[in-house]
Amino acid sequence: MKVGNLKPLGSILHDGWERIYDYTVAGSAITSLTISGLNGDVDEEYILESKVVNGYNGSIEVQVRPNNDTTATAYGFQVVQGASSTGSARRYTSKAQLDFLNANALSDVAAGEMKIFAKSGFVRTTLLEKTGSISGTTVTAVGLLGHSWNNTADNITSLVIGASQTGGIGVGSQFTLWKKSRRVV
Amino acid sequence: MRTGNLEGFVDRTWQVVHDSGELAAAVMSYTISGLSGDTDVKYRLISRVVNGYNGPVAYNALINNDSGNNYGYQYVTCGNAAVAANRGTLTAILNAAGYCSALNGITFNDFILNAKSGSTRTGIVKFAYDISGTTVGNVQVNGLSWNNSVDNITSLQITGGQVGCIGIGSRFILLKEVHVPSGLRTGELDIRGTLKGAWQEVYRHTVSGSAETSITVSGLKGNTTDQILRARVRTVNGYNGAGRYVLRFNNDTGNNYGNQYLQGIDTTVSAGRIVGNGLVANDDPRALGQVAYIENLLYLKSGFVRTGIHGRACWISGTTVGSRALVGDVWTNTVDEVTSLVFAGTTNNFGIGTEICIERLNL
Repeated sequence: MKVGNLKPLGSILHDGWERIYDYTVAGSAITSLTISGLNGDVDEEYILESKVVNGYNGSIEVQVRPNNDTTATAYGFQVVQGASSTGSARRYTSKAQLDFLNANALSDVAAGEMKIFAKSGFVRTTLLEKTGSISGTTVTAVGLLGHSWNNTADNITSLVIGASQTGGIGVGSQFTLWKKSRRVV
Repeated sequence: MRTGNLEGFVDRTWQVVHDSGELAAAVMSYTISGLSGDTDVKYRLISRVVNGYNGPVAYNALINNDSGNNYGYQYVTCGNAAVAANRGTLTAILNAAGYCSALNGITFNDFILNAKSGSTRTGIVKFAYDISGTTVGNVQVNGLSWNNSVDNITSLQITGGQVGCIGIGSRFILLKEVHVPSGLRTGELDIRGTLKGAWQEVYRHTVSGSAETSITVSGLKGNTTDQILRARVRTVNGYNGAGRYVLRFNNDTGNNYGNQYLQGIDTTVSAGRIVGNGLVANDDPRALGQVAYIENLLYLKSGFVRTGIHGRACWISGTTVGSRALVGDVWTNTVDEVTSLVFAGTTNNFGIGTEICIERLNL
C-alpha cells in the first residue's frame, strides 16, 4: 500500500522504533525533565538521544536516573575516550546516576545516543556514544560508555534527566526517546 | 488502521530518505540533496565505500557545500595494538564516510548528524576501515562539529578528493527522523507487513528454561531483503567460568573472520586484531551470571567481503562494567548469500535471560 505522509495519533505497531518523547527547551533554561509513563518490562529497550546546550556559566554534567533512583551506589560505568591527543579509559562502580553528557562552559554543546536495555530480571545496561564539550570547531572529547544500573527488580516507569547545576539544560537543548513498538508482546 | 506492506513516510519513525544502491561506476564525490535538516532534525548515514583510488582517501562530507574551515573533530582510533587520538579543525566533516589507505580497501561507516539549526551542529561517526581479506585495519570513532548554527541543511556531499575514489560497489544509505507536520491522520497504526525504509524486528529469542550453547537465526536473505541487519544481544553467562561466543555467517567455521577492537578495561586502553573462525562478539565473560550488551551493524550483501561494526559492554555484574569496546568486523567470503547467523558459544554461554533481537532495514 502506497501512501503519502501518515501522521498516526495513536501507537505505531510495526516491530520497529517509535518516537514517544520529543522535547526542545524553549524560553528559558531548565534544570531537569522527566519522561514518565514508561513501561520498561513491556518496551524492553529504549534509545535516548540528546543534544544539550549548556545554560550554566560553568561546567555541567547531564545525568539520567531510571525511576529517579538517586541511590549513591546504584550505578557504574566503563568508558574509553579520546581527548586531544590522549586515548584513555576509566571505570566507576559507585555512582548515583547514569552519566550522560557534559559541557564545560556556557553555550557549549554536547550530544549523545544511549541505548538502554530496560527489562527487569537482571541489571539494566546501556551503550552510550557521546561527544562534547563543543564550542565552534573545538570538539573536546569523544567517548564510548557502558553502564550498569544495579536494580534487577523494578519496572522502569520514568527517566529523570537532570543537570548538575541549576539551569544547566539551556535553550535549544533537545531530548528524544524511542521505544521498540512491538506488535507481539 | 491496519495495513499490510506500507510505503510512505510515517511520523515518529526513522526511515530511509536516500539509498544510492551499490554504485556501478566510480566517482569522485557523491551528493545527497533535497534535505531539510530543520524539519528532519537528525540524519543517519550508513555507508560502505570501496576505495577506487590507488592511495589513501579520507571520505569527508561537505554540508551545504560549505568548504570553509568550519568543521571540528576529536577522534580516538586504533590499528592493531596501537591507540591514538587527535583533535583539530578541517574544511569538511572528517570521515563522515570513512577512510581507506589503499586501492580496493573497504570502509564501513555509521554517521549520525544532529542537523537542526539553532546551535552548532554535532555528529558522531564510528567506522571500521582498511578492510581487506580477513584484516580489519582500524576502528575509529569521531566526535564532530559544524560551526554553523543558522543555515538549514539541504545537502550532504561525500568527497574524497581523488578521481574515482568512491569505487564500484560503494553505497550510501541516508535515514532521517521522520517529522510529518501534516498528513493523513490515523488512530493506532497497525502495520502487519513491512514499513519501507524503516528498521523492523525480524527475529527475537529469549533463553528460558535452560542455558543454550548455540543459537541459529535462519531464513535470512542477505542479497535481497536482509542486506543491512542490526543485531542487539543482551547475554547472561550460563557457564561458571570463561566463555566466549562468536558470530558466524552460514555456519562457516573456517578461519575466515577478522576483528579489530578498541577497548577500555578499568584505566587501560588497549587494541588488537584477531583472525579466527568467527567474529568475536563478546569479551570472555569470567563468571556465571555476568551480563553483556552488544549491538552489531552488518552489511550482508555478497559481491565484496561482508563488514560490520559493533559496540559492546561486557563483564557486567552489579555496578561493575568490566569492559567497553568498539569493534570492526569482516567475513572474507564475497560469494555466498547469507542465509543464517549463528551465535556460537562453547558451553552454555547463553544463560537464562539472554535475549537476541535482529532488525532488518527495509530497503
